[in-house]
Amino acid sequence: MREGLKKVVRYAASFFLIVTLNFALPRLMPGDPVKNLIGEDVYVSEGVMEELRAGMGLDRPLYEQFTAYIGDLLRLDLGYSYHLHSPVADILRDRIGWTLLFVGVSVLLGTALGTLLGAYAGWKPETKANRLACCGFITLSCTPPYFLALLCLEIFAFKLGLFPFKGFYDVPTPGSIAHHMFLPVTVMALFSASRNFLIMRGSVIQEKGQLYALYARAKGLYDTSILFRHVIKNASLPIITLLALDFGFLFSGALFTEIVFSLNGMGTLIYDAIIGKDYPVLQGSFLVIALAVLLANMLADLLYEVADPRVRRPA
Amino acid sequence: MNILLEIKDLNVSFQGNETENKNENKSENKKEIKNETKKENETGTVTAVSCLSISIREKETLALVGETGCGKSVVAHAIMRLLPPESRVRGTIEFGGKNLLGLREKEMAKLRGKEISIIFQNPSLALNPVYSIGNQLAEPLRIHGQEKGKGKEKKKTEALSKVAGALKRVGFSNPHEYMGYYPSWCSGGMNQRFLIAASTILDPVLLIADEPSKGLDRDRVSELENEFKGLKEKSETALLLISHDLGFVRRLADRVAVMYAGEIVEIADTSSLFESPRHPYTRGLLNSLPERGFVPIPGLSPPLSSPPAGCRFHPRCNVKEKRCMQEHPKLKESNGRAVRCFLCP
Repeated sequence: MREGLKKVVRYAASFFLIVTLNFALPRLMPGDPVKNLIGEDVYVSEGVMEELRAGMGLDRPLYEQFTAYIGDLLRLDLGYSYHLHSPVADILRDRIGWTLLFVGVSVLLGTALGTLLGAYAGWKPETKANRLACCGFITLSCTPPYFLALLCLEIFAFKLGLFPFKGFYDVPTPGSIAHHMFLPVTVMALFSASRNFLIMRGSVIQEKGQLYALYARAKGLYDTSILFRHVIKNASLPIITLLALDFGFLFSGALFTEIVFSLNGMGTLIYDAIIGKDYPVLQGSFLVIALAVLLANMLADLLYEVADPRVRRPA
Repeated sequence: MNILLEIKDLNVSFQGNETENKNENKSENKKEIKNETKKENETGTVTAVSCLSISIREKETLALVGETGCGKSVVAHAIMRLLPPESRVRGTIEFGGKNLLGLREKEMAKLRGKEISIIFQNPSLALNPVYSIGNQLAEPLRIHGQEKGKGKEKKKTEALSKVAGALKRVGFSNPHEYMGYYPSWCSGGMNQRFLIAASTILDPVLLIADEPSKGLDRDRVSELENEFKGLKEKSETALLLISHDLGFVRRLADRVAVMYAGEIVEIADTSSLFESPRHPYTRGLLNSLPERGFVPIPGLSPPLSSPPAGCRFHPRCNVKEKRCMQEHPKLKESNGRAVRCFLCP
């Protein structure tokens, strides 16, 4: 129970830190925030700028601004984007579903594929097929996803015309979405699989030399049933950690893939926001992504407790 | 009594060179095992066990004693065919009319855990950390599930009661509580007993106990002794006891084989071995016991990669003669005892 309390405190602290950083970062940036907000290409008179500054509370002391910021957050108000003329929360709500779908499916597919192939490659590392797979996945893991995405786009969409170039759908039907999502999901899944493959392979090679694996053989288990019944559960523990890490990593990796495939998810939103200096959107996106990663870590923490009895204590 | 397991001329060697390894494996498949000795010297081979012949009768307890590194555990693993692929095993191991070394891996897997079981040295590592004790104890039942055609539920309850029975047999009065435990929550002594329960749950014909008393304190060792005694009374199991705890061996074994540097130097029944040891090494071992005055054997046991010429014990022997240094003595048998020494009758 005390362990649980410690964890809650730790996550609460990270949450608070994230919020604080998110509050502080834009205020630490050089230049006038109001000018930044409006953008460089629009001319606004001094009076209007003062008015805006007062409207956003930027003339008040920092701690008041901070409490106001927290209050806004509690009301799920992330500010207003002057570029897109819409509240940031609404924009994010619109976009994040797509990115979650895209990243979620890719991570799940990649983890499943990478774990299984990696386990088998670790079990029989000396066979030719497994050596080849290992080489392939090392190459994949060294290739930046956006490059792979460009390559896929060039070959399968431009040259072969098998897949559409851009967007999530032409008409919002599951078939059309699947067709549009195929290439980006494949790229991200392959990338995620390559990381999982390498970790799992090493993990299985290490675990299969343990005494319990030999004892499993002494009990009468045969070949791959030792792998599936005994080794795989121990070997896949690091995968849980990687899953949480990958979540954040893929979010940022998805950014470039989304740009390449012109998918209107979080990635393109952030990209456009950076190009257009749309700080409220950036601030909101960072907060949401940071929270998503925090959540993924929390989930991994909980999963560990379920999967590994060494982490928990007898009741 | 019938002979249950007979090992004849067992040789186990480990290759040092990897490429050599592959060639060796191939030649093994073709059953062309010649010019062996020549190769050995070239590639830094370690011969862990050489020309070992022992037999175990039904229900008998044979103890294998000797210093650490003399090849005791290798014998145990060779019987179970659990040695790593880089090992080379020659000779015959006959069990119930079959040569175990000639069996295919799949056939061997059917014997493992059911007819021949092993208890490893390191119980806490031999149990899988992520499965519950109950799960791991029921595993042999699942693997070698005999009765087919029964409902899954019925099988499960049957397995549960069997596991509970096995846990009770090794001294856990409330087995259902311990079934939900994990190895990391339990002490080494408890894990030891879980391991014994798991290995004996199918009443194997032969149980190999590899240093079962290692790392346990005095009380635990005497508890373990009682468990083995109880096991032998209740079932038909023959026991191959591997240990360097001589007191433990004396109280449990029917016969004792003493190993030195990969070979047997003396076999005798327990009482005659302990009362009138013949081989100088056996005498040295017994003299090093605390109750006999802690007299150590001078020197160290030789590395198995280059055993000394002649009798392997001669560098440490205090009664050696000239021929001990030149000729390698054979195991001589007389009235049920066997000794590998020129100077013994």
